[in-house]
Amino acid sequence: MSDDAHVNRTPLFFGVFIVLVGLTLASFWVANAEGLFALPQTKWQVMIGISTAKAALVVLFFMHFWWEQSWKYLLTIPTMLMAVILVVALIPDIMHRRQSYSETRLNHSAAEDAYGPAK
Amino acid sequence: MNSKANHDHTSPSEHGESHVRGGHGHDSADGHASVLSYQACLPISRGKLALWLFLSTEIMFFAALIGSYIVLRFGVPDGTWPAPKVVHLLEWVGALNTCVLLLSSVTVVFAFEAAKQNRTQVAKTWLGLTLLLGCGFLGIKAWEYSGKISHGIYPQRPRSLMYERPDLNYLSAVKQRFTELVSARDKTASDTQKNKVAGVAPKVGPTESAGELVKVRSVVLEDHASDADRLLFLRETTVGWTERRVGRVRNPFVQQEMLDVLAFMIYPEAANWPHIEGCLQRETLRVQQELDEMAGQQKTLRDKIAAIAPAEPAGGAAVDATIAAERVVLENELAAVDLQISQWKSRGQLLAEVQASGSEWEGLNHHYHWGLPIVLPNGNTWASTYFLLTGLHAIHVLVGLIAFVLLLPRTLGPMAAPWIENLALYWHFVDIVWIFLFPLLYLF
Repeated sequence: MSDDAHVNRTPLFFGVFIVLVGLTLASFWVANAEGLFALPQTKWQVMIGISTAKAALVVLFFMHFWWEQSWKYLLTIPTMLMAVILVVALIPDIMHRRQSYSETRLNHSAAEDAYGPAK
Repeated sequence: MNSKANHDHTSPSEHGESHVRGGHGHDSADGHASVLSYQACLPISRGKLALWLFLSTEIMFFAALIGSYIVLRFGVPDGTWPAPKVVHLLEWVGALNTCVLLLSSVTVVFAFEAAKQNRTQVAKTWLGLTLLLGCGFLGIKAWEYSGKISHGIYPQRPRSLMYERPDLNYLSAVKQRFTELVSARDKTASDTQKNKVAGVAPKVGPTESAGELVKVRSVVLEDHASDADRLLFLRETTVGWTERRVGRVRNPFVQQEMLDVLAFMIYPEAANWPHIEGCLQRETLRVQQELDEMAGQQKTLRDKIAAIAPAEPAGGAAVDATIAAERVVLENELAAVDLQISQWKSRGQLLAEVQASGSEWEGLNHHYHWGLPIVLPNGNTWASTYFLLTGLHAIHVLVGLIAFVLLLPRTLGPMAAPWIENLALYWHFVDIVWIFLFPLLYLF
C-alpha cells in the first residue's frame, strides 16, 4: 500500500462509514417515498446511482484506491468493461426472451393478464 | 525502483536495487561490465497483486450473476415480479444487514490501522468485532431463509409450492393437497376423536363431511373450532366449490375469476386487491343466485313431500310401499339440496370474511401450516435468483469469517498487517457486492 502509516485516518474512515449509512437510509427512503418519482424506472436508477456511490466510497477509501498508484486502472477498467459487455450481451436473449415465446409457452408463463393490467 | 512500495514482504531478490541477475554481468563493447537492475513493474506486494487479480475475477463473476438477475428481473411483464413483501423480504432487515456489513468494513480497516501501528491488542479487538458482525450478518440471513422455507418458497418442486398462474393445473394441485391433508388426518386421528371432533362417521367422504359443515359454524379463525373442522370446512368452501363451479361455468372469464379468488384466499397479493375485490362482489352475487335457485328447489321438494304425506291410502300395503319409496327418493333429493344450500352459505360466509379483511387478508397459508399451493407469478425464477445470489454471497462471507478465525490467534502487529490488508480488501469486496444486492433484491 502506498499510504503513509503515520497518518491517522480514523476520523476519515468513520466519516465515510456515516456517509455510507446515510446513503443506505437514502435508498430506503427513495424506495418508500410516495409520489417522489413518477416512474418506478427513475426510482430504480436513483437507487442504483446511490449504490454506485456507496461502492465508490468503499473502493476509494476503505480499499485505499484514493492513495494507490495508477496500476489500479490496469486491473479494474478492463474487468469492469468485461462485466458490462457481458450484461449487455445478455439483453437480446434474456431480457427480451418473451418476444420470441410461442403462444403455448406464453399461456403457461407468468403473465400480466393473470391479474388484469399491470400495476 | 520504488523503494517505498517495497517495504512489505516481498523476497529480497525483488528489492534488488542494483541487483545482478544470474550472478553475471555482461561485457559491453568497451569491455566494462554493465549491471542489470531489477525494475518492479507494479509497486505493490505479490500477495496484494494476487489478491487484486482474484478480485478482478470476482468482479466479473458477480457482475455476471447480478447482470443475469437484472435481465431476468426486467424481462418479465410489468407487475408480475414478486414484490419483496409477497416473498417475505423485509426491507428494513435488508437495510440493517447492509449497515452491519458496512460497520464490519470499518472495523476491519481499524484493525489494519492498529496492526500497522503495532497496537496488537487493539487490532485483535477490531478483528474480533468484524468476525462477530460477519456472524451477525449470516445469522440474519439464515433467519430470512427460514421465512422463505416455511412458506414453501423454494427454487424448484417438489418443495416449492409456487405456481405461475391460477389455472386448472393449480386447482388440481390445491385439491390434491387438501386430499393429502384429510388422509393424513384420518390416519392419525382415532375413530373416537374423529367422531367427537367432526361429528361424522369414521370413513368421511367429501360429501358426507360437507354435510356437517353447517354445524361447524366457524368461518375461518374462530378459536373453538378444531383444525379438523376447519380443514373440512375450508376444503369444501374453497377448492370444492371452485371445482364444481368451474366445471359448470362455460364463460372463461368467470372461470378465471373463480380461480383468481381461490388463489387470493390461499396466498393473497395485496397489489391484486382492486381486481379481487370486484371478483369477490360478483362471486357473492353468484352464490346468492345459486342460493335463490336452491331455495326454489327446496320449496318444490318440500311441497311434494307434504303432498305425499297426507295421501295415506286406505288400501293395501303395496300402495303404501310405493308411496314410501317415492317419499324416500324425494327426501334424499331434499337432503342433497339442503347440503348444497349449507355449502353455498358457507361459501358466502367465507367470501364475506375475505371482503371484510380486504387487502389485509393474510391468506389460509398464513393461518395454517397446511402448505397449500400458492400462485406467485415468476416466483420460481425469483427464488432461483435470490437463493443463488445471496447464497453465493453468503459463501463468500463465510470464507472471510474462516480467514478471520485463522488470523485472530496470531500476533497482529506490522508483520501481520499485509495479511489483514489483503483480507480486508476481500471483505470490502464482499461488502460492495451486498451494496448492490440490497436495492436489487429488497427495494426494486
